[in-house]
Amino acid sequence: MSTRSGRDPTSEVRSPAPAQLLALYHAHATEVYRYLSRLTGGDQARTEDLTQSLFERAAAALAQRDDELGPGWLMTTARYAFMHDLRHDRRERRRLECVGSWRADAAADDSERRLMMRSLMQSLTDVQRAALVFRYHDDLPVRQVAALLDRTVEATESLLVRARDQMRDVIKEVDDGA
Amino acid sequence: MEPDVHELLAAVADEPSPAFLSALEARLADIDLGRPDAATAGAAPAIEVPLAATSMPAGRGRWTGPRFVAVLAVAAAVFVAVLYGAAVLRPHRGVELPATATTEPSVAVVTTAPSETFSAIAGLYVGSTGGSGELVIFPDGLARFTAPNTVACPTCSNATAPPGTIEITLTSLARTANRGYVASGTITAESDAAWAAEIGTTPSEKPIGSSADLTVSPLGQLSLSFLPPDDVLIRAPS
Repeated sequence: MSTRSGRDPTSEVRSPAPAQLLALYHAHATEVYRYLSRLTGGDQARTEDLTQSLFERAAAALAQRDDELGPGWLMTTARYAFMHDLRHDRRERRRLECVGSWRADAAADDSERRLMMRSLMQSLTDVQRAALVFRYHDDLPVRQVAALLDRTVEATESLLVRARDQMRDVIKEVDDGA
Repeated sequence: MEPDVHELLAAVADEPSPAFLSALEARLADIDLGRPDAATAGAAPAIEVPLAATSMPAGRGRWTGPRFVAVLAVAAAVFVAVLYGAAVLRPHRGVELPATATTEPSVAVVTTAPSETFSAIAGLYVGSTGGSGELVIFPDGLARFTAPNTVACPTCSNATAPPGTIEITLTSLARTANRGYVASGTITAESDAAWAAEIGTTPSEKPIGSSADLTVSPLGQLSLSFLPPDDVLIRAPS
């Protein structure tokens, strides 16, 4: 059996330099963390778990591959890792506590506006939030988002519409309460 | 008002904490993928990479034909790897994370770098409850532990008791095997000797001049030698 480089993997133990892994970490750890934070809705513990797991996967992948890993690999794997985590833990974590306490006058201040946005994101289900991240941050076509979420295209479109509607409703409710 | 999705997404794009980043970096630096057991286990690393950047087809019928056979083969390989490789791989999983990590009770000191200064551990460390107290470490090596003095006021609550203080002058600092720190020093001042003697699970004399040690994990969890082992102080964000 030979690899792309013509080497027999059974006759040679590949030993990637830790520097390669650390270089990947130094170049992309913050970016990856931010991306996973978007997916988890700012859940620090979950984001840290996923980030750690991702770089451990990168370490394992470096042991198997001849080519170097890049940001594309990291982001794609992060996406799958999040979905895997979501399927593994079926609980739909949803945090609504912040939304109700927010009032419209907060919008006058940028930091409070950000707080409102954060609350809105946290009020979504994991799947809704993932759909928004995949569609609008990653700019993936709906068909690919549907595949990631293991749903039909129609169901995914409906999911995106409902997520946007839910956020619009909260914003409207806040505005009406002003 | 139409929600701006990009603004919403940016609102939850948090920055990682320095403590997490340094702990993760330390973890990755310790990974030795060149070990024969990990690298030659064949399918063993596949446990770690089933989510790699492979393209997943959309729609129905993905579990038919050659793909199904391939999936079965991978699953069998993973199963075998789990059976034979789990014990070997276990130490490489589960980096200490803030939610679960605890400071190691016994610390293997590996280096004593002359360049280490107390600035590396300087800061405020607080307990998880009101009665746990807090410790401030100054860059010059002075450490001040403060907690409610319930000996001076037995009827007081933690909130109303007067503060008791123990000052420790640290004299040595060393790195530990898990990239934390261990520092040693002596108690140089006490606000109330009777109260100081009562601190900890086993009341003991802690007169001025007696030794005191502290360990700090890479994630900023600190334990003091005269406090109960599970009474961990956490470094407060600066």
